[in-house]
Amino acid sequence: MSSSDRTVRRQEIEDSTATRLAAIVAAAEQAAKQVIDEAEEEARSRLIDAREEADRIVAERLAGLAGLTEEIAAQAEALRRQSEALQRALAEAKAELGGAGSPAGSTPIGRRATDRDPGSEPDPGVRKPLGPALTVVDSVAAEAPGAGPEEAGTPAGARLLATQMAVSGSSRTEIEERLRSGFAIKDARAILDAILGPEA
Amino acid sequence: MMGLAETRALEERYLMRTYKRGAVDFVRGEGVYLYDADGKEYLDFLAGISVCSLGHCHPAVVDAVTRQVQRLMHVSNLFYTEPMARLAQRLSESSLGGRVFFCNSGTEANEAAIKVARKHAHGRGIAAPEIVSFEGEFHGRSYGALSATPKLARNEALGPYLPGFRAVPDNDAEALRAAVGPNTAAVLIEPIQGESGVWPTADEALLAAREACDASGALLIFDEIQTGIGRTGSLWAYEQTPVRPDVITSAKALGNGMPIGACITGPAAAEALEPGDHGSTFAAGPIGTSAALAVLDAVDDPTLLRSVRELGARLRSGLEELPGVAGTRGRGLMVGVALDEGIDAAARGADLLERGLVVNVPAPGTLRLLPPLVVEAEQIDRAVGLIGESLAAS
Repeated sequence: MSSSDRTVRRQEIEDSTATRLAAIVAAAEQAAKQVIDEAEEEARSRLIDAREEADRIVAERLAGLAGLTEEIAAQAEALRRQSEALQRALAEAKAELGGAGSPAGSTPIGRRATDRDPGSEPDPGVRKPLGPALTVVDSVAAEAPGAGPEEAGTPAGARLLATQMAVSGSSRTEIEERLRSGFAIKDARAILDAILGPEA
Repeated sequence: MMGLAETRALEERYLMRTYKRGAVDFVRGEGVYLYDADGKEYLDFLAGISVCSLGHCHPAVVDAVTRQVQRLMHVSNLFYTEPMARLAQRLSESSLGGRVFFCNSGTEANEAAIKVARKHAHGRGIAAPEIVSFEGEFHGRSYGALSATPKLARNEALGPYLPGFRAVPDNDAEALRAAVGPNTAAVLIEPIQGESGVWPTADEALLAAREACDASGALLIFDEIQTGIGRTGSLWAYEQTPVRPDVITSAKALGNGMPIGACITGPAAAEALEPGDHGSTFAAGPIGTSAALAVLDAVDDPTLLRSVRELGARLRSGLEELPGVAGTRGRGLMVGVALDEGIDAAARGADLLERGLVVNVPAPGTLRLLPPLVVEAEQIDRAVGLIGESLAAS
């Protein structure tokens, strides 16, 4: 091959190579663009999914909080009602206690035979006997029409005594005896039924 | 081992003369029995003045103390210890639901209660707070507790006493109502007066105290040092009364022989004392609090408490049958025996000790019986028999 032929051949190879390289570069660029486009699409899709999941979780939490708030409000309302009921019960108990002293129809604590006459200076060495100290105050029962006579007339102290004894494990008979000796309550069925439930 | 004569000689030479002791030196105890140096057996119906309520050397208490002694004996209140915290929880939850201050004795428990009451009163704007109690009560021998013990606080040779204490006649509800006023910090009451001869405070007086305290804002304090820890057939004596106090004090049986006391509040007084207001080096130590936890495990048992009530009734019923017994007083296994007029109770007490029965004579004409809560029916009957024999010989 002559020198001029080789020059022509080299030129043809160089042109062909340049064309193929240009095609390869174009294909690579196209592939890269496609990869980038697909990645961007994937990212957008995931972002949308993530936002939707976040919105769903937030909505769920808000719904839960709303339910909890309603429950707390309901409990607060129940507590308020219980508190009012307790205040009423306390006021009633106070009123009953106020009327349970000796001047209002109850039996005062008597004195032993060795005690001095009324009006003399109290003798610290002498004690009052331990008989029934308190009786049911009739006026309290009269002021509470409709209620059972025993329950309405039972001093609050007797009810507390019976409750504390029951809680501490005393039997029905023991509480009944204590109510009889301490408060002269002859028939304690109503108060015992209220605290311990009806007798079997 | 020294005999009684030698021990007695040392006591007379070296101890301050504050006690008149019975003529016996005990060397061992087991359950309801004590034994002297000669091996003689005694039925103990005093239980160290209502201290050994589970009987002498109760295995659970001995075990708890032994284990604790081998692990840790003392660290002071500058640090935490588990038995202290657990006992405080147990005492609070079994009673008034507030806070606990630990100390080493009954008189210290009452000192703490007095301090709580005065601090609480100052918080209500009272500059000169007063504490009201009944004449026959006994609250201890330190100066605060002594000042609240009217009959003892008259010994001028020990004066001056603390100001701010008033006393009214026993069970006088009207006098109590009159004594409680705007300066009253607390009404301090024994639900059953022990040292003066076992006198239950009347329901009417307790109700008057509660009512007066509610009206004035004062605290109602029950001294449960002798009556508490099951002695009357409930864990606390107030549980068999028509009132609920704001503060109770406990000691004696709380440790079954280990020295420990406690002032227990309800919510009203729980925050009265603040850091720096009160304290004790030994109090709340792990040995005493471990013993007390073992005691509560055993005593806070419905079966035992029912037994205390039933055996107390058996004891009183048996005693009331005896010639020479005018009557009995008390609740559960805290029993005062009123003897017929003319019978020397002190002589009967000494005679009973000779016969092998340990009792106490707290007042003229009165025997006091405080047997361990674990006493059995046969032992009750035996004690009644011995008292009957002694009275017959008088």
